[in-house]
Amino acid sequence: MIDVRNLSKFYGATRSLDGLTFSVPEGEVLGLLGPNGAGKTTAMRILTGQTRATSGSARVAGFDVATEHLKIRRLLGYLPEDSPVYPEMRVEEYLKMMAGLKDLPATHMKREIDRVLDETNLLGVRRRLIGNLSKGNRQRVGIAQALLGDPALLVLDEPTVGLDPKQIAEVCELIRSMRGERTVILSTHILSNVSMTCSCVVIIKDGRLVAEGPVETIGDRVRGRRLVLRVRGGEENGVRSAVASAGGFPPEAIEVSTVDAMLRVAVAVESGTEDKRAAIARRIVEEGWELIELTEDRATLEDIFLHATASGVERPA
Amino acid sequence: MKSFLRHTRLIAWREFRLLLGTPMFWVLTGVFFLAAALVYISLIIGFSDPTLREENNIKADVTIAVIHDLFYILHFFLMVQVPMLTMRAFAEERRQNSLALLQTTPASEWAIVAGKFIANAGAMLVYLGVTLVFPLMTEYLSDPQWPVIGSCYVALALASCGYVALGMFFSSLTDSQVIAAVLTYVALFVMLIFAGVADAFGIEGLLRLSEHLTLMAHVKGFLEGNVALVDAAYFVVFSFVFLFFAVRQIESLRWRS
Repeated sequence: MIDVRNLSKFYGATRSLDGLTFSVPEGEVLGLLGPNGAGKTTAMRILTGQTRATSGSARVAGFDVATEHLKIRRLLGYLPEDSPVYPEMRVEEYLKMMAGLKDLPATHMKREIDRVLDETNLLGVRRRLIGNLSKGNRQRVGIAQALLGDPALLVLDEPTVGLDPKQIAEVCELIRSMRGERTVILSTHILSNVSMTCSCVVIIKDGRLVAEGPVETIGDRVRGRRLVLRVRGGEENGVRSAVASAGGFPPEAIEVSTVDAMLRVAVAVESGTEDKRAAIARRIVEEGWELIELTEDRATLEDIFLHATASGVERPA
Repeated sequence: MKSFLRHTRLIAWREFRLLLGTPMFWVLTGVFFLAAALVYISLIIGFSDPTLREENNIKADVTIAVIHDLFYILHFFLMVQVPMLTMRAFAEERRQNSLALLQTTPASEWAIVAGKFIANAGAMLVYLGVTLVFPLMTEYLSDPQWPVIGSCYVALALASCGYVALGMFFSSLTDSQVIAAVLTYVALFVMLIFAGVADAFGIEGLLRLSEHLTLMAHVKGFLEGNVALVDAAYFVVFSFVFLFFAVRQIESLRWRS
């Protein structure tokens, strides 16, 4: 659905994007992450045809964003940062105007407006002035206009800003429900939102891609998987070699330390290797030691974000 | 084309309602009406008093003595009003980032500009509409020439469209309403004094250029009841050129930002 190749953007001498490359298959919900000034909004503005890249290319549904942005506008639902809606209009009339601008047929307009009002829980305020709504509801109006016409691509820049925790959960649920139905690009600073909603993540720093992958496995790719064991009764070298032989790990991948009169064993597991926990547990028991704990320590998205943006690790092959 | 008209209508309706919904618009309308009323009353007093008429060499024809002079002065009042009306057209949308949202819909830049132009020109027609009371009162008091009055209204309506297009162009240049208004005032002032400067310095070429280029030269004929196609064409071209500049300007935001 989206194919970004070597995208660079300069504002004068300031570099905002530097050879950014990533792709998003149809139906995926992509979380675009990065520290402030990383280039997230610039990337979104290029993809929505609001600004032109200095070099590189970006295609949405096969259309070039630089030359075919009018075609892309017909596939696009966009929520800019700060949700710029017209305060002097009523919710329903604003959506009616936006539906008209999106060329929705008049026969379907009423039904479509009812649908987005229902999806964004705005049915109760449909006749109220937008200027009199809470910030959360104004944000929902912005999301509602983006959803009009069931766009194939939804670009949401900080969609949960200003929402209370309940509203955030509802919006996240709404975005998650779109998985498989339409492609969504979501930019946010709230990493828990990404865990809840996104199927894949792109992390950028200083305009460059530092990590990319499905939410479930990006931690393994960026920081690696780890197994953690707590064993009572064994001695350090014996436990190390037993774990190494049971799991087929190189000895340097295993760290052993003593914590609370127990041995704590941390094993760095290469991405893609099969699960060896059962074999390790069996071996520990066979040796006559007590296995107190055996867990897989998966990195949280926060760990991944901090690790990727601090070290600037390159995209794994 | 159908899509273009639909987008234009939607944007024009929203903008027109916004303009008429602001207290500022009604304050400006009130000030405009009061100022026009004061001018009208002073003209009527001068016309109806034979001594004053003789002293000030006022013509006996009410259309020339009152209506023509009234519309000549109203034209300057409109020049004062327009920048305050058009300053928000794009500057406010740029400041709020809502222009970016409009530019991601299938509505073209021409539809956005045309919609805003129709709304602002429509608001100017509301200004002109309130002045209808003066010809009607004149009809009650005397016997004005309605074709000349019609010509005066056409002149002011066309001139207003030109000034609105100019103001919208300057509004598209900035996200500050104040700067947009100041730039429009400066441009209108330069156009106004262009002929005077050329005249003062006795530069023949400039004088001839000013006759062709300044709006005032083309308004005069209409105010005297001489409807000339060339004058009407001038206003249409003038408006189109500045609307074209506004379109290019908001298109360029896409590439310059």
